[in-house]
Amino acid sequence: MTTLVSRWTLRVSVLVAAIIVLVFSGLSRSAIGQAPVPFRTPPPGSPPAKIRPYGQFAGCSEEPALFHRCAMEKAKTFVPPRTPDGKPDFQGYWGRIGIRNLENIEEHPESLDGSGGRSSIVDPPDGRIPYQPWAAAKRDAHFEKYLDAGQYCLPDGAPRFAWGATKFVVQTPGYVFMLNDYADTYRIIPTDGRPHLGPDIRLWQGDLRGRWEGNTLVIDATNQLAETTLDHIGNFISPDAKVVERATMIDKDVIYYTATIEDAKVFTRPWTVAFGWRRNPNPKYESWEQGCWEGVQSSLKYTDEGRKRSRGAFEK
Amino acid sequence: MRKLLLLMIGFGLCWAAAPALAHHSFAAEFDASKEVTLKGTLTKLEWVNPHGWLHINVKGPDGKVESWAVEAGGATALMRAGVRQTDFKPGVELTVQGFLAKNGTNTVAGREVKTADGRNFFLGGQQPGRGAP
Amino acid sequence: MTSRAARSSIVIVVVVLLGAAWLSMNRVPAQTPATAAGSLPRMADGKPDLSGIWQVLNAAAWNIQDHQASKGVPAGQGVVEGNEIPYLPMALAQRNENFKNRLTADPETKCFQPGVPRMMYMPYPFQIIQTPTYIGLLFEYVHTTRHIRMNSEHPEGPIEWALGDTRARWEGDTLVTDVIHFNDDTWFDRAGNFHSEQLHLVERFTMLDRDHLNYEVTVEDPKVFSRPWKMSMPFYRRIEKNIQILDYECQSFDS
Repeated sequence: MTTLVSRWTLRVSVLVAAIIVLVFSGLSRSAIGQAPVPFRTPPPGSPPAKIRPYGQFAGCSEEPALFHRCAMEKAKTFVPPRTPDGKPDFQGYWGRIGIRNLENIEEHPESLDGSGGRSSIVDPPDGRIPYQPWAAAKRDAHFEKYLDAGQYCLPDGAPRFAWGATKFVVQTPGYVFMLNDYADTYRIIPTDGRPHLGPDIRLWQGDLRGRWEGNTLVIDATNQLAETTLDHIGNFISPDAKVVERATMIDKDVIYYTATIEDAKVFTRPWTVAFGWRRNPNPKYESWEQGCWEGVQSSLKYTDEGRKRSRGAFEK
Repeated sequence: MRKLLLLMIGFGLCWAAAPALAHHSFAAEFDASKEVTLKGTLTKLEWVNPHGWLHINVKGPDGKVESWAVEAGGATALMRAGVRQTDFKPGVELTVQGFLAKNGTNTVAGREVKTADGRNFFLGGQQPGRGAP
Repeated sequence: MTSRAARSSIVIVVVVLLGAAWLSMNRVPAQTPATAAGSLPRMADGKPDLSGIWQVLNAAAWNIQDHQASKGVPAGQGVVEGNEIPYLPMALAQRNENFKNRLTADPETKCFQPGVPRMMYMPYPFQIIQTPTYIGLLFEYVHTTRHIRMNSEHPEGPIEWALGDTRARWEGDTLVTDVIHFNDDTWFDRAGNFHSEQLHLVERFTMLDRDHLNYEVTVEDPKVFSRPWKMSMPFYRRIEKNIQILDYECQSFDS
């Protein structure tokens, strides 16, 4: 008797389970609640996320925390080439090292959005952005509601620009220019000591001021509109953030790059991202026009789900 | 017909591939769990950045013809791989593997595109693991 | 010579010399090439240094030909040489149609790129950055970048870009560019003047003095015009202290 009942229970359970699966697979995502975002940061205490392996550049692992330590050492001794006016010469075309974070700058698994990666955040050492609690909640709720400003071909801001697509660096007396392959955006960084703009002008790229500290280019970014998030999942800063970027050559083909974000409105303490730039090995490479807004109209139309463009975390 | 090129726009091989993906998310628009295969003829090509679009006419099992939009790589990235707009002529028969758009329309992110004679050109609209290394 | 004749000679010479001096003082000093060349900023390789922030002061962005004011549109003396644009007959009809529908048909109203040469005379500043092998034009209007490469070849087409592909060389102190590989999605102005993908431009940049850069562009498009035609205008250096390029992200205001 017991055996008959168990077998019957089993069959019914399987049938019910099958029905549930069939019903739910046919429903839209919104009907059953939020689908998991495939590149969310695993909760604290999780095993390492499954990612594609990292390579090596200039004798350093690409993995951000390892690259950071290794590159910092090499930065102490490498002597960079110089421009005619005596500054370290960073000119040329540069791609990225280690910064697999377009979708999420914290640790996240491989997905159709990317290779996955360890956290790009090297300070604090746990690799998690030190949000105030309200801000963490806001970040967690961002992805399902908003389209990245990049989908509207709007500029990255700081420091996202620094880890963006191929950059063409040009240096002239008193300036460093970074021309990005993404939507033909650019940054103009005066190094002539002029003051920042006043607080009433906000810019998509922020207001940038550069100076040389030894062999390191230090870029100070203020006056940001902060409507562009730091990544797709929605990590963000406020318009009052101060971002300090530091770029140092550690090899003729590798630049070590950090960005420290200070923003008392959003975080409990400053935090730092580390990554690298690698020189494009193709000596004939040229930036070519990447018009964006005209061509993206089709994408916006065909994949429209009613999401609004992200305007950053702060109501304007 | 001009010889179609075999494209391997894996990230390690194509320097400029990432920018086409960089500034918006696959997961925001496409469903990774819904992979489909479509057979049809090319009717129109939108040769633009950040993503190009192939439009194909697909005949369903009931004989009805439906138009589908297939997201492909951006014009500049394809150009760097040696491809030109004139390589894709309307009327060519294609088999497309891709992921459905979340909004339920006849839209896919192209993963693999083959011609009728088996030549393969991998247009890299939104491809697995194509985020920056 | 008698002393009287000598005195007369001296008087004549003095008068002539004084007259010459007076004339030279009252003559409007001409900017002869030699004079201008001497006062231009120069790169280490001797070429004029075009670096800096520049902007036009005309109404060409609205209408490149002579036009009177209308609502929201300043009047302007045209920048087209001879004030005539030699359209082929069918193209002229298209231009007139464009003009009628300009407030919706102008790609620029959708925040699409103004293209070249229109971007050069949009009423926003741009920064020229210059090295011996590369000159960049960084525009405040929708963060556009024009890449100008020195002494090099156009990439192989077919290519259709809003800004075209620009290759340049110096002819003496004049920067001469050759621009091809256009799409047909941009206009010359808000008045409907347009071109096809066969547009070919030759631009000439000549510094008149430290703060004035003369811009001349020859336009050729056999699909649209019956012959080449020219526009010219000065760029004025933005000389304010600490002047910098800001931004104008057109599509951000409505989206």
